[in-house]
Amino acid sequence: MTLTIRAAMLVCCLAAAFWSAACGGNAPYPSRPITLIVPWGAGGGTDAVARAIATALERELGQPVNVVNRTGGSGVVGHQAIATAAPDGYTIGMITVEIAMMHHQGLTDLTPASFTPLGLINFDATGVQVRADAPYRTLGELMDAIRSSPPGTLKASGTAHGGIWHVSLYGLLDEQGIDPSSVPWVPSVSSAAGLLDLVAGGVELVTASHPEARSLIDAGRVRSLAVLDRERSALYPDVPTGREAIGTEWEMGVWRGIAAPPNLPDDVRTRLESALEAAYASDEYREFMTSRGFGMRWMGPADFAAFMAEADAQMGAAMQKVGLAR
Amino acid sequence: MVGHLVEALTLLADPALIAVIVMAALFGLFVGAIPGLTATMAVALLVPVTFFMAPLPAVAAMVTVTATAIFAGDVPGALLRMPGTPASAAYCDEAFELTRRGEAEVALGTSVVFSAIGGAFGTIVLMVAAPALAEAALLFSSFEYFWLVMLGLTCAVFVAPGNPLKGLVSLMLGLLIASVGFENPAAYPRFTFGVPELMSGVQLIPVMIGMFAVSEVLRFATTVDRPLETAVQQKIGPIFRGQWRLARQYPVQAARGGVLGTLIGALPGAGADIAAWIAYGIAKRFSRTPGKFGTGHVEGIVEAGAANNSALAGAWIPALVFGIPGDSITAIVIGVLYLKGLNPGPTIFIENPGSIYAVFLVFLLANLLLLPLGWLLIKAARNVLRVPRALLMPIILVFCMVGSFAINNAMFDVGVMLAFGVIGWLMERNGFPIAPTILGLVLGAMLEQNFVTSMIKAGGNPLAFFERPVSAVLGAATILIWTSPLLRMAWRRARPS
Amino acid sequence: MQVSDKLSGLLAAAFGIVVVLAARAFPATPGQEIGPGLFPSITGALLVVFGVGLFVGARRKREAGWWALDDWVGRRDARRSVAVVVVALVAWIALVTPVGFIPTTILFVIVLARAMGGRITAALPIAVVVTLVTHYAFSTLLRVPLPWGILQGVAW
Repeated sequence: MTLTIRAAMLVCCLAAAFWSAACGGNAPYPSRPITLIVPWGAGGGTDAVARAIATALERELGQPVNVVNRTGGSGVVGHQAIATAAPDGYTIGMITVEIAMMHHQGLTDLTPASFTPLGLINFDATGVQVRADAPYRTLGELMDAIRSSPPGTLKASGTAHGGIWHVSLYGLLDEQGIDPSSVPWVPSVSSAAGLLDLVAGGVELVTASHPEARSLIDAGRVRSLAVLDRERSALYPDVPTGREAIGTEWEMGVWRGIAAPPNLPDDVRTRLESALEAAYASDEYREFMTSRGFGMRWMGPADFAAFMAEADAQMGAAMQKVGLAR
Repeated sequence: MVGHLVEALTLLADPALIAVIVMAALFGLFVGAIPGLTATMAVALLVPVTFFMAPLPAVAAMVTVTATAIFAGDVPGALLRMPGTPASAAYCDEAFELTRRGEAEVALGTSVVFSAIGGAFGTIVLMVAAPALAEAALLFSSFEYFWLVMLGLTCAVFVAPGNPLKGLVSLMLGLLIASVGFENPAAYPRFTFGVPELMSGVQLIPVMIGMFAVSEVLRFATTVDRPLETAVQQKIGPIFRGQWRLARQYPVQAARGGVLGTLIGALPGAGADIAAWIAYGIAKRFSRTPGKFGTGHVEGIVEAGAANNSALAGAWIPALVFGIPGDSITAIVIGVLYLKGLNPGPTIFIENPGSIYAVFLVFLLANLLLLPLGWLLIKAARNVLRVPRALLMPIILVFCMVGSFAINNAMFDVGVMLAFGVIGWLMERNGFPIAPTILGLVLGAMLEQNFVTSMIKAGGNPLAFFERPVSAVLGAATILIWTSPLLRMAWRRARPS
Repeated sequence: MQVSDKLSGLLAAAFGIVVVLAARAFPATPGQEIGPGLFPSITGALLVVFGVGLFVGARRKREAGWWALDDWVGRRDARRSVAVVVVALVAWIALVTPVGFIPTTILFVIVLARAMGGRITAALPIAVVVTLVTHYAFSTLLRVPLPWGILQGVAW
């Protein structure tokens, strides 16, 4: 046993010697690899966008940018990891629309203000989809069908209970003067699962973004009636906006941005901001986003912060009203 | 189709492409052989690399990685009782029993040969019948999936040796573990005790590694004469000897595993994990010698090994035809397909026939490559058995810990691994099988999701579970399997009179 | 430790009751008829049924005794190895983030190999090689962020 302890001490001394020898230098930021935390699992849309922006950032910063998936708790764990990381610029992360929703449900204390925003890099608005052979051809006809049939006849899906597409649909119904509970929400694990259930005849309408519904729209199985945004989506310019279809002001969608922990040093922050803006504008990132059908939208740090505060207030009000806040 | 195949063959005759495939195969074997690293993770790591590749090599690399990684998961399962991927957990104990008896070459040879056969079978189905099967998969809504999961759980009772009540207790434990967390249909955080890491529930991989591998280390720590004990053989004989005989002995099992795997894989809500469990359960149910299962009997490995590799090909059916992911791997692949301009959809066979058939040929090639590369991996892995056990056990633990950590990059999961190592050790000591717990954890979330959404759709009417044609058939089959022992008893009682 | 089927059946049933009680306390979901408590309640209730079944079956077979200690508990070396495995794992989890993967893991392997009866002359080189190879494979090839700890300054 004594030998073990002696060996252990030797290892520790060696380690300590290495450490003190290496801490002398003061290289300009960034001098080592950067970690980009993604609060969602490998293989999803958020993961794909994160890996694309990481590849472009890597080129701008001249250091590897490693994507690390910290999944869990519908995003709570990953967002927490970003907010509580050391503010040295070596840990940044992708924050998503859920950061403006989770604290209204009492799942976390984190709000958009818990981060140093660096930039918004993607936005996809709500699309309202029905089966291709459904009797309603427009959003107006769908709303009339909901109004005229007994509550519970039409069912909707697209995300988990209290997820973004659930809030978005119920917010729209509420704004249109329809009792949201007359359209029961069938929770699904993902928008893909919800769309599949739509095709299989389990539900009558699905709210999800156009890139999520794309393959089934292209296959002629699903029809998009409208997109709840101020402009039409780049993917389906024929699909009218909600305002064009029924004159609604309701707009909501998913977004993704890059953020760092609070109290980031100024020089590090400016370096990251300019690198991110250049990465966003790179051909590489643009090509990736266009081919996947994701919506391109850029906002610098100040605009992004204001956008998040506004989204947070809108979410809070909507979730309170339709009974999804806890 | 012949014309397209010729065109595909010329596309395939590119040395650079072949080099990519071989590299991807080696990478897949490496990742799959390490417990805790899943095939999904291997594919996700490939994504940034594919940005810089031409479409065909990019897709070929992903196809090859998945096929080899799923097989490689069997190797540590058979040698050290550490299933490398969830899909190999179904028959991990069976293979480990063979190794203990000194027949590791039989376990691993069967695994590699029938993985290759299953994979090749699934690919041929994919080539011939993808559009029709994809259409059939669209008939599945939550009602049908509910019954499918019930069928899968029924297998737990067949798989578990010993007292069936203990198997059921173990299964309920797995279902309860699966209900921890926030990701349930009601989106309410259950049994989280305020721990944020538990919001996403208890992760499958750390539980699996803990219950299988860590419990094995603990058991070793309690054995007598430890330093000299060699519970496992030190050598591995010729791997392919006797495989031809097995193929002639179990043709039905191999074919059934292939068909079952392809069909289950083609369902977007199910994948290789479930396919392997159901195939193993069916193999035992219809075996002439069900008593031999669990004691190191290859029959179940033949069927389940074929099923999990064919399920991989099956998962591509809805992915290619409708852009619907059949599992987490094809979810990534669909993104890459879009990226490379090979947009999935019913027209993909008309618009890009050359590239698509080339992808299918890569599937076949990857499954054939399994034979020589799998042989190499097994030969390399046998060196592990030469390491003295006192040194091997800590090394196994290091891999377990890093593998558990790598799932979410969280130390919390290493703690989960340790906790379930102790739980699994106590359960096995007292005759509670651990396989049903793992199965319950694999299927629990799916069971609840499909049960609750079906009830919401039906407005609480249980008869709705039998109203749709496919769900009526699946439901009737499940209930028949449950009641068949009772019916048989009634028949026997009625006959003598 | 060997627990009789009588006792394990009772334990399972008791656990099932606790689960059902906890699940019944979950709030209903607004706008949904089925709350979060239904599924755990069903599972817990089934656990009670199977646990009681196990107990009754064991009673009928006249199983003797409630529980017994295993042989190994009487042996000092076995007791020590089991304790070392558990304690070393807990220590690894606690130390790996502040101290770093490389030193902690080298120590872990040495301590465990010694406890299992391995020689230090074999354990030390194996520990260093295994740790560095694992670190290279996961950290560099697979981009898993293993903590550097005190070696942060020399991170490669």
